[in-house]
Amino acid sequence: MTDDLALFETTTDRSYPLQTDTVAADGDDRKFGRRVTNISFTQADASDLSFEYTGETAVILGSNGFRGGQIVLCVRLGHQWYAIRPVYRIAEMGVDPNTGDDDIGNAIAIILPYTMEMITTGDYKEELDGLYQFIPKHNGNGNRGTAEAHYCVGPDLIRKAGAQVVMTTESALIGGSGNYEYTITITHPDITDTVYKSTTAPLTHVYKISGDSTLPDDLWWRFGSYANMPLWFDIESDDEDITGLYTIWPTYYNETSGTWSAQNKGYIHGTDGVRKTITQTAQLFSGSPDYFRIQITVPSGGALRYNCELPDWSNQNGDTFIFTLDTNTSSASAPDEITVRRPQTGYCRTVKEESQL
Amino acid sequence: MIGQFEGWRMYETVAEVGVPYPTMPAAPDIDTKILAAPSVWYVKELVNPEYDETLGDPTISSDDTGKFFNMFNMGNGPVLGDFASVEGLGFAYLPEGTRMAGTWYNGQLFGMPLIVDAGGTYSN
Repeated sequence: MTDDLALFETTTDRSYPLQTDTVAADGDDRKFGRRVTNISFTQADASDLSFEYTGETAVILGSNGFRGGQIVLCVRLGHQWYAIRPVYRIAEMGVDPNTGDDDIGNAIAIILPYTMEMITTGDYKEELDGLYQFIPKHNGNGNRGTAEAHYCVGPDLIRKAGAQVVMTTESALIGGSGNYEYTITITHPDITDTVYKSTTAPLTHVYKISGDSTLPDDLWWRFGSYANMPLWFDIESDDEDITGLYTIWPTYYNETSGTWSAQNKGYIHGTDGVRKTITQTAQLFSGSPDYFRIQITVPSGGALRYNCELPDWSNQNGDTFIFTLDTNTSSASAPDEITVRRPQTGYCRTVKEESQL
Repeated sequence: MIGQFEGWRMYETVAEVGVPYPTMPAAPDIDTKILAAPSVWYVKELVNPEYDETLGDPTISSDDTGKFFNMFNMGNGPVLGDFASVEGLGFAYLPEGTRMAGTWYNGQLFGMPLIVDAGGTYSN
């Protein structure tokens, strides 16, 4: 019974098995929480707050009053977690204009850029390749507009040191769009310092401003949600157009239809490691209650369809699972099986509610 | 700490038999509401709490045990207003029927109000 009190980070969605769109509207009584542990901070300045995710998620009743990203003390009564009081606020990346804390800026950006994928090209810099997840810094009172990625997860699912990546927010609105500008600085002994900035809305890319030529010109990222780790798989074909490493970013769970989905974002990585723009879509969805399907359109016509039966599917960190070819209506060759990989992080693991008891 | 705060259960603030439920302090400012509220509340113990899974429905059903206790409120309660501006530990006025998470420690019952089903929210 020592697990009856715990700290959770409030979130608005839950990874089951990908990302859900169950964003609690105003007046709803619950959010989801990601259980955290090993919280530490320096006593003089809590901007060094750090913590780890346990991988457990839960529905938290009474958490509707908290913004996403807040650390909340919770108690479990019976089968249910209830929020008691906030402990820490971590999500905001700006400062509330009402606080008058003018050494930071006068904007507030509640969204939290969260995941960024970077694949370098050549020169044996693969150790920098992977997914970077940002943990915001906080000064315990107002906000610091920085977040850091402490490691990355390579396409081989191995967690590694990677590059040092720091994100800072600018207080300026981008063209009155409601979005804010972010700057990402990447440093590593093997490269010259490289700077990316967000320049357009919506903020799905950041674009390189200056720095190392072996780093990509733009980076994909996901932000503002907390469960959206992608899946990877490779396709080898005699059709060069569809050959490469696919990154499938989760989208949303549709509660009405009961379907999950995820899709690529207009690029794959070729066998040379270079990201290239593609026209085909690769989608993952729950085709029926019994299986998941990955469907890849082929530019020259037709499609590849791969299925994974539900018992073979996994929500666990770092797991791989097999999709087998169901139909190939294209003229391209296609492997009989593809191996789908989940990153080895705490973000994507989902524990079902009944498993938390 | 481990092992000391065990056996959390749900309680609910109620009026003691023959005693009117404490009224909310009339002072209009929120600080006074907090500070003027009592720290010991009469509660009844509930078991088997279940939440209506309908999103947004705050209904919690539970079974009455018929057990009543005095509980020391050691947490900040649901306050109607800007709670974040209050420094230190404040004691909030708890409306009748406020659900509490309580635990026994050293022969006394201590508790903290749950936010859900309480009509107020924390700000920030």
